[in-house]
Parts: sequence; structure tokens; C-alpha cells
Amino acid sequence: MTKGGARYNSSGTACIGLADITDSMMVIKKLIFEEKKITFPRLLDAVNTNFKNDSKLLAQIKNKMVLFGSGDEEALAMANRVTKLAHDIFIEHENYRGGKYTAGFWSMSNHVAFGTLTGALPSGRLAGKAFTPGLTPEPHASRSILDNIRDVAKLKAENMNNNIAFNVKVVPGVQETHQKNVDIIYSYVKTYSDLGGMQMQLNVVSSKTLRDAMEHPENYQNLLVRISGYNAYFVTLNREMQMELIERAEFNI
Amino acid sequence: MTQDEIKLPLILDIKGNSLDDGPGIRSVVFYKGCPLSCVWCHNPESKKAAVEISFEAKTCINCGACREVCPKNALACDNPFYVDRRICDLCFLCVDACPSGALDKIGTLMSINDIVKKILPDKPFFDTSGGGVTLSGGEPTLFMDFTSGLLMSLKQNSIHTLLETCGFFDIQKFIDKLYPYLDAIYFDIKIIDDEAHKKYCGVSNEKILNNFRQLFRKTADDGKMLLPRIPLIPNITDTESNIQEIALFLKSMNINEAALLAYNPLWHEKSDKVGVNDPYKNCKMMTSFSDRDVLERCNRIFDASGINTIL
Repeated sequence: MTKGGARYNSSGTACIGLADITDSMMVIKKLIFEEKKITFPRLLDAVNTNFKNDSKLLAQIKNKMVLFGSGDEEALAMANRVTKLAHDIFIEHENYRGGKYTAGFWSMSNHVAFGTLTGALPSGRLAGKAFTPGLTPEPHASRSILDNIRDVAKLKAENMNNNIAFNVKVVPGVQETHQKNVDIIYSYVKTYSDLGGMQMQLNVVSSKTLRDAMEHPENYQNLLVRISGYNAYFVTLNREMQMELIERAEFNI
Repeated sequence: MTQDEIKLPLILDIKGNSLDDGPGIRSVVFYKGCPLSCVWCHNPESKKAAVEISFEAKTCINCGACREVCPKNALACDNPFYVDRRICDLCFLCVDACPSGALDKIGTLMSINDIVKKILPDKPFFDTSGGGVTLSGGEPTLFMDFTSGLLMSLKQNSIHTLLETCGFFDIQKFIDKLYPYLDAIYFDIKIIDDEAHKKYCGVSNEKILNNFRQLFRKTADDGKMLLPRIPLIPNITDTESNIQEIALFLKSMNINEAALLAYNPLWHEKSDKVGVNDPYKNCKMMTSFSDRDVLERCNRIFDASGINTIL
């Protein structure tokens, strides 16, 4: 079938947890190296014990760190450094067809499965919890979805040559007209593309609805949600995946 | 403090992606300091023009780091507000020490440049949505010169500008310094009866209503937007007689559009945070959201006067 050689022979990879890694690196950079507020052994001990004996450090990380997706230039630079590292390592390797390995940043539902197998991280993500889906920022990175959108749009596309998945959950206001909701979402997507973004996927649903669907699946047989690169019927997902969707950042429109 | 003594405002917050403070996607700049003192103020932390300390009990992890650094011993768990503001000298050592963010400093001195720099990254969203910047508070007109400079700078960057105001300002200064750089004005009309206005808002409404009349004539001539907004406060502004009087007031100028702001009780928590005693804490009406019936009743009154209401 490939006799004569296919023009594009690459193999794609999918990297999970860009925001988790970026935010963890920022904690190490800021708290240990720059501000010298904590030591490596203290952080290591906190991570090894799932922050059980160091709730103060966990609070400090959760509330006072600038994260990827907050509009902070340094955090964005760190995210670009991480994607470049992954890209540069993969591209050096050749697959059995003689093609290159490309770096992608999307997770299907694996960010949940892999999360259950992984211990705590310097970012304050606790053991067993899901990683961030695709390359989506942490829910508490910013109160404004615009910061998320701008940061993701500014990630360098050349480092993400096996594409990305950027998940956004928006909740329409009860008082808003359908037209206003459509206009606002249009503006998010249009601006994201104008700024250089290449992919985003939206769930327009509230956590309240999703919780109700967990309790009364019989009423929500047709509720379709976007996971991270594909759609699924919410009621058919396992509990961990359902919880991850609920815990995603929720922005009111 | 008089208006003339205040030169630079403290900024409470700059909120991005606001969809309720004017057309499109907007950034809202909240000033600190207001000449009125409405008993229901939704941003009680914006009333004073000075820096304050806030404490949020539900965020506190009780690690004690703040009590260790406080030089005045102003922090105590048995104090319902936690911070004794009679002793606290606002050194903010506790805020730096607090890992959870439960303790916070309210009010930041920002230059016009600082503010514009913070807002500009969101300009592409203003452009695709027909949005812009809204100045709110607090009361931006307390700082005429600063606000004038800020508006000028926003217009230089081709940004749509909107002001939310309580209407208590010097009209001549307003027209000279702010008006040329404003695209739209949201003007609050609260209570028509002057005695009640003094009782609930702390000042006479004479200046406010006069300013509204003058601005109405001016905006009508210039084709700028002036939107009267009526906050519906249970038993204070939403009474049958007050709503009737407001409708009459607007009708006398042939105004045919007004915004009704449904009551939102979320400010009670914020009162606690800045250590302000809240006389309505246990009042059922003041701690629940506006009733549908009340909204419909107010709507009907405006309708009957030929005034279209937007919620």
C-alpha cells in the first residue's frame, strides 16, 4: 500500500498535562529559585505525602502562584518552553516508515485515566486527580476566559505539529437571549483565531445540569458533551470522567 | 475628605470579560470611594476612598501565619470580623504572610498607563463583540482629572467608553472633562422623595436629578447614549410610589427606555469581609433575590408610562 512511499509518513504523539507541567515548573522556578521561599526537600516531601502535612504550602501554591492561562507572560513563556522541549525530542526520532514523530497536545479521555495513576504534583494537583484536559489551563488560572483564550492562542503552533485540544466550558446566563449568547461565543472563537489559535472546542452547559444528569441519567439520554477531541453521551461516561467535566473551569456568559 | 483633596483614585479591581455592563465584551474598572452611602451598596468595599484590609473566613485555613507577624496583635479568632480595625495600622504584613488569600488589601494605586496596559490585551475581544471599557465603582466622577486622562487615553486607543455613575457630581466639570470622551452613560436614579434619598443614600438627590435633566438634553442633542438605571431594592426603591415617581420623572423628558436592576443579595458577604456592620443581615427581604412578581409589577408601571424596560 505504501509502495513508492507516502508523502507524509509521520507518527503523531499526544502529550498530556501541559498546564500541570507548566504550573509545576513555575512553582519550582518562583518559590524555590527566585523568591527562595521554600526548599526543594520541603516541596519533595509535600508532593510525596500528597500535601497532607503541608496545607500551608498547598494554599500558597493554589492562591498565590501565577498560572498558565492567567495572561502572565512568564507562565506563557514556560508553556512554550515545555512544548518546544517535547517537540524537539520527538522530531529527532524516526519511525519504522522513515517518518518523523510529531508532538500533539490533546488527551482524549486519557487525562482522567493517567491521573488516577499519578501522584501529587508541585502545581498542587493532588494524587489521583485528573490532569488538565488537552492543553486547557487550570480552572483557577483566571476569572476571565479571555486570559485563557489569549494564552492558548499565543502558544507557538510550530511546536504543536500533531495539533491540540483546547476545552472551554461556558454557561449561558438565564436572562440572556439566544442571539446574545451566539454573538459572545462568536466573538470568543473569532478573536482566538485572529490571535493565532488553531483549535478550540466548547461545551455550552452548566455544572448544575451535569450534576443533575449524574443523578437522573434517564432524563439526559441525549446530552452530548465534548471530551477532548471527540464527543460522547454524558450518561455513558464513567464517574471519574463525569466529575472531570464538572470540575472544568466554568465561565458565565 | 472633600472632592478637591482626592487626586488619585484607588482601584478596587479590573474585571475582564464582563457582559453585563454595557454592549459587547467589556473590561470594567472599579474605583474605590463614593460620595453616596447607600445602605444596600453592592460593593461595600468601594465606599471608602482609602485602603482597607479584608478577611474572608471561608478561605482561611487557620494556619496562624498572620497572627505571628502582626505587630499590633490586631487579629483574633474570637473577633467575628477577625481583624480589629481600631488597632490595625494597615501595615499589611499579615496579607504578605497569608498563604490562602483570606486576608487581602483592598485598593491599589494605579497610574493611567497601568490601567490601559492591563486592559489593552483584551482589545481584540472588544473589536469582535462591539465592546469596550466601563468605568464603575465606587464613583469615577469623584476623580475628574484622573478619569478625564484615563478616558482620553482609552479613546486614543479607539476603545468604546461607558461610565456608570450615581449622578452626584459637578455638572460643569463633568461636561468639560469627561463628557467629550464618553460614548455612553449609565445613570442611576434611585429615589425621588428627597427625605427618603437622604435617609437611604446619605445625600440629597437635588443635584442628581438636575444633573440628569441637563445631561439628558445634552446627550439628546449629541446623539450619545444616556440610560437611566433603577436598582430595585426591596421596600426602599421598589415601592409602588417610588417606581411611579421615577416613571413620571422620566416621562417628563419623554424618555422611553430605562434599565431595571434586579436585587442581588450577595453584598452581605462583602460587608463582613471589610468589617462593616450590616443592619440587614437578618432581614429576609434583603437577603433574597428579587421576586419575579416585583419585577413584573415594576415593569407594568413603566409600560403604562410608555417606557420600555430592559433587565
